[in-house]
Amino acid sequence: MSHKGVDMCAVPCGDASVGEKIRKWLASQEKENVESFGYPQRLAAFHKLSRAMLMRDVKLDGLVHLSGAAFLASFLDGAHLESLIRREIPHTDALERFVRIEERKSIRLVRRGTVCHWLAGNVPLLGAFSWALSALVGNRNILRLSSRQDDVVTPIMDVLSDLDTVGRRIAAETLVVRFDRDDSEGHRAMSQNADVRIAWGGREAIETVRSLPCPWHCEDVLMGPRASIAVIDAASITEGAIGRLATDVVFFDQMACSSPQLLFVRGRPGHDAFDRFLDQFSSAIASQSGAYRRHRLDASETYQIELDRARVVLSGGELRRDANTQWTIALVSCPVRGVVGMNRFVQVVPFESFRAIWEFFPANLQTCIVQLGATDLVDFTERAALLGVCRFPLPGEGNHFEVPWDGSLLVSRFLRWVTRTDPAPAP
Amino acid sequence: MNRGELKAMMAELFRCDVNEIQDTTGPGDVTGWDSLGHVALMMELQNRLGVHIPVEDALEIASVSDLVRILDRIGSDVN
Repeated sequence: MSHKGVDMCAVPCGDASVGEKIRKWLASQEKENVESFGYPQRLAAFHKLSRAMLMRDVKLDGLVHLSGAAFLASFLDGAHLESLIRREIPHTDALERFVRIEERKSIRLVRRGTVCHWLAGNVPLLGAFSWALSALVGNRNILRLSSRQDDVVTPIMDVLSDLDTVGRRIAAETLVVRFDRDDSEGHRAMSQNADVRIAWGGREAIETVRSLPCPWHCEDVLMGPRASIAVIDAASITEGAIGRLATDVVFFDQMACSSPQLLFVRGRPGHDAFDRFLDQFSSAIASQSGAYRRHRLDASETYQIELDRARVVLSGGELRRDANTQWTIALVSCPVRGVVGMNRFVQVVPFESFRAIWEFFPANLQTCIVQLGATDLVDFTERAALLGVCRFPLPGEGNHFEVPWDGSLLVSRFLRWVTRTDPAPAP
Repeated sequence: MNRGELKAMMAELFRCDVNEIQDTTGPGDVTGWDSLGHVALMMELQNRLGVHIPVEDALEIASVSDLVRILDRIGSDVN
């Protein structure tokens, strides 16, 4: 079964232009005099969707095996969504009506209108997170997939449509379009109809979206290229936490911006704690590389891994690796210039003082997974936050999407904040 | 809920025989206990026991024994 929104564009836009499809869809949205559903009803619908995912609804067969499906299911859980919304919006009643926030001042939160999402090619499920938050507060959504991407969205819409009238409405308020990255007419058509543009991806993708014409009031949320690291005290990390750190590296093949590529490990090679860490981490990476399926490496990716390995060896580093190109741990005294660090390739840099590592922090830092003693944690995070780190999760939580993300609030930007001055109370 | 009931619930959730769920059984040991199954298990326990299992605790569960220990610590006695 397909619902109205997806039905229009579940296939590549083909003969009819993207612009025409978007215009028709928007016109149909305006015309429909349907019952509007509020935040509590929408929250309940997403909770049901989470349950359908966890119960492995047959329509989601292709989705539940994807990396990140479990993250998405737990993300959509009603209690979890509500806790995220409350981080940004203490008075959720304001999503339904004016709420007094001071003696004579009230506030009301209104959906912005049409939110256009450009999904990332590497981790398309990320777009489902922003879509859910936007739809939760009542926006219409247009999601753009590239022609080559697997459509992870339509199966979700189909299940949502079958849930109840609220789910059907949310699905109908969602349009999926597919067009090539070179289709400038398609990009422009989306952008010109956007009240909010949200783009996930690399520099080129972000700059493409940014350069498109859009209404003057359009809000931009740009989730661009980011790098992530881990800072670990070898003496205090447990074997379980080392296993979870390996999961952070392996899970999305380091294609997610939150996957660590550099590990700074306090300790010295040749000393017990450091060597124990390296042995246990190598075992965990090796076993998880076997356990978690990965995409098939193409020739350029394989070449890149071999090139990175050569760079490390020529720089005096040591390699721990499998017999092929499944995984690589490079023990280096400092990050090796030019190493890309993708597809389960991580550089481990020993250190003794935080002062020795600040200079190696990438300028576009997003996530810094930390496992440090309590005092170190406070000292380190205070300084590292000033250097650009946006989040400090524990090992195993690196890839858990949360808000704020990339240092920015998300839900509040999907809303217009309306104020009202209230009359003085009667004497 | 006692330990036997916990295992029966897990077997139902993971669609496996209850005898496959031993104290040492962990994620990946039975077909249904994959990442999605793990999230489903946490949600089900939270619903049934009325407790909140923090993410960091959920991530540390490597066996049924770990699960029981964590439930015990957050105030839900499973023996």
